[in-house]
Amino acid sequence: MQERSKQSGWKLLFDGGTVILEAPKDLGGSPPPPELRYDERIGYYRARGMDYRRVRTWVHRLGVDYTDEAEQYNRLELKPHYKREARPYQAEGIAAWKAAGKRGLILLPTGTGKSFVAELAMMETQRSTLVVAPTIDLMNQWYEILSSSFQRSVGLLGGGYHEIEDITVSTYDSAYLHMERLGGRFGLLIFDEVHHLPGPSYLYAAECCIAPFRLGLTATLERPDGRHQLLDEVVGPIVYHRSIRELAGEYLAEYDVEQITVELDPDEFIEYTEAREVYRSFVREKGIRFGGPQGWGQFVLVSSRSAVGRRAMKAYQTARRLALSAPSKLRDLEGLLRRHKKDRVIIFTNDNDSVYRISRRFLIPAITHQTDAKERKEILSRFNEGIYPCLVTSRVLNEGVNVPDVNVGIILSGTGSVREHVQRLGRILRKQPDKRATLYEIVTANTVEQYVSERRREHDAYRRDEEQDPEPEPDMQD
Amino acid sequence: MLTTDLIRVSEKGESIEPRYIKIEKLKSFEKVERLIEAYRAHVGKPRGALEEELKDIIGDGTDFLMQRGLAKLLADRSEFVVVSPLSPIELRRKIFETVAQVHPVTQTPDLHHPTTREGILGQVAEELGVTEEVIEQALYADLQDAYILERFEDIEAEALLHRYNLALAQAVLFRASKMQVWLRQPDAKRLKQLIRYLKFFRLIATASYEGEDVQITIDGPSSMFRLSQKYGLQMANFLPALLLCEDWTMRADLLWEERREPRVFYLDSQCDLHSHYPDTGAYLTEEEEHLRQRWGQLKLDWELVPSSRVLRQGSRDVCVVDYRLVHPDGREAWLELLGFWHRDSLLRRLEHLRMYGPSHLMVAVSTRMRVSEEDYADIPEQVYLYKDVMHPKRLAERAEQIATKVQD
Repeated sequence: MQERSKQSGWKLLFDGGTVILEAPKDLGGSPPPPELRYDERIGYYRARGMDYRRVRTWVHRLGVDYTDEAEQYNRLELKPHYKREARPYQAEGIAAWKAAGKRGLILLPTGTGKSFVAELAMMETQRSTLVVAPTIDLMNQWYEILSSSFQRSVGLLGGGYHEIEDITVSTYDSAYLHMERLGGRFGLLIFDEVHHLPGPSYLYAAECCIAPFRLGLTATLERPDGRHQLLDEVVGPIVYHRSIRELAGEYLAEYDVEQITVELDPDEFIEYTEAREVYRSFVREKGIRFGGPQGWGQFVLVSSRSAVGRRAMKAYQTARRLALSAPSKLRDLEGLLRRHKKDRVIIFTNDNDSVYRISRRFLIPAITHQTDAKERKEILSRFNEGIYPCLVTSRVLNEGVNVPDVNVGIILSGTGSVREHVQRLGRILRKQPDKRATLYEIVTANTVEQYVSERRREHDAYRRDEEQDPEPEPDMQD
Repeated sequence: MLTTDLIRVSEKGESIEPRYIKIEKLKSFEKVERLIEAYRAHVGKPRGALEEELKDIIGDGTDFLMQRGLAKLLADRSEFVVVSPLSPIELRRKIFETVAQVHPVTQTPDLHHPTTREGILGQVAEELGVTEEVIEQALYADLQDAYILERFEDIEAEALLHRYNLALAQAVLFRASKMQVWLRQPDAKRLKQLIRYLKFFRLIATASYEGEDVQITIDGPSSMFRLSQKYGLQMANFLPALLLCEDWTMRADLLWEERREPRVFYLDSQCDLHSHYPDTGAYLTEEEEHLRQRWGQLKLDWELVPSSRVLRQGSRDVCVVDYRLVHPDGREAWLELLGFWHRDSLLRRLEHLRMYGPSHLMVAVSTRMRVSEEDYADIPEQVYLYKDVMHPKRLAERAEQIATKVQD
């Protein structure tokens, strides 16, 4: 293939998550950095998006005439709308991150103001920013926080939205899908709950973006597969870490836990027992062990292969539904709502069906993954202002959702996952002056659920945060 | 599109073979027709009811994976919307505000808690001038199960089965990291079409030649850094474009299942997969037909040889040569015919020609394309502007100016 070299200078381009350097093959005699490779397919050099900073620095130092069309992000002038003093650990975290070249991970417990740390990072950087969160609900929460903090329009990518702004929030899934096209448009990448990032496909999103500045936030980094070490390359090293014990008392509210045991009505109990026997015998027959890490996945797979298996799955769901939200439990819920009608109450339940059952029964607002971003924002802000006294939600709010004034939590159903429990506690335990929170757990008597709950209470997750999760009771996937 | 959980394949050694439905061997299309009928019958009805009926049709039989796959393809042809006389969001806001004053509403009213759920709903219904049933129905009319099937793009059973087989092959390609295609003496028009699709799906194609046979290797920008399935979806979307070609074989390298083990998937033009992409294929424009005829009638030194050579134009673009003008002394000039292009695209094409050449390539442009001589003042010999018809003699004169000895 012949090419005419009528081009004058060199050129940097963003191309599908990579950076192309259009330059003569000999690069004017300068040995390239290892990130930059000759691409035989196109006859030019190419590097991964994330290596843009290295490549551009190298080209710049050569002193050649070049144009940079890869960089499509903007300089911003972000100012906080509210004056807020950073807590000491937030300021220390950001200082450490800055010292590390504005790359790296800050580890703080849930409920200690990680989102404010992100805002500080954005003000330090003043470049177009993409915030990536694991769920649509968290994405929506970031959307609320950032649009009110900076009083400017924030873009949404995910959950049916595709609006790109200088500040945009996204889910990991949507970031993965769209980064090949958008990777040139952000100078700062913030990963919320960054322990989700090391999955093979999500990492790709981080590689496809040219952002020189990167921040990862989480409470826990450990992954059983050890892949968290991969974060070092794509986001940076751990630059700051505080555990829940170091911050408890001073910044987290205290709380009481109260368990309420509900007897199933006789007909509910019979139906429950029968359904449970159907799936138990299937599980025994197939030798599925829920204790193992693959237990639940194995059940899903094996049960989908035969008629008997699919009946077993159905029975499992029936038993679970009865244990979690039988009518008898709703009666007790009403009792609690009466007792706390002057309080700000949030009700957690595990499955969306129960959420809507409760919402319809008590005519209170509901939030699930199906809730539209804008309605969700309205419900949460009205709840925070005290216009709505009560809110029911499913597990989708599990990680770090921000509802500062809640003083009563009711778990209507739950799994044995300790991690989930800690997160849930963390949410209603934001520090308020003189506030003592109460957490109720409504459990059905003589069901597996009660056993799970007891096991959960034996666990010291109420006191510590470093525990590995025990194997959860098989859980309904949303 | 078939999701991974709906895929049906068998593994033969390192090769993955989709378990296609053998359409000609089916005794009847009854079950397929029941699925389609369910969609037709539920137009205007809620999604939840449709899903229930589909569950009944699909049942517990051994072919349920296939049935669910067919149902998924039908769902892809459907549009579900919220239908409600009241805006569910506004209704909820009104109800929640009303309730907030008297929370919690109860089923067993007493002195302290006199307000019942029904009381609230009745009050709101009266204010809005509707019945309580309307309120109950509208309250969560925007949940997925309550969505109404507004439109269903109908399809015949046999066509759906063909779509299914194609979707199965596409689902295998989701796992592809690289694709290679061999085309025997491809027609330039079809090849152009193929290249257009490759470009549209943002894939990178590199072509090599043996005579007029073309081998195209297809992957994506970041493939040189890491094998990934990232481009699998794009390759799957590209497959129907390949099916429009005539004589070809395809090999896709797969990263299979969780462990991403290497597997291969072969396909060739003998397969019974049907494309649903429009084929602008081997159609010759009148202008081109005329050019070929006139060239045959005239005794010119230059021979007009159909070509389908792919040329790279800078780092992100390619073009296809339509004809080689070959002189007995070994010199060649190449000709690319530009169809009807948007002016912006045309100017970009000229810019590429200017920057990347090669200098023995010319483009033929119709005067109908609103192009002026200033647009190509610095490369006048490489742009042949014609009115109505292309004149062989003019092209031969150009060839004399730009031709060169071409080495492969």
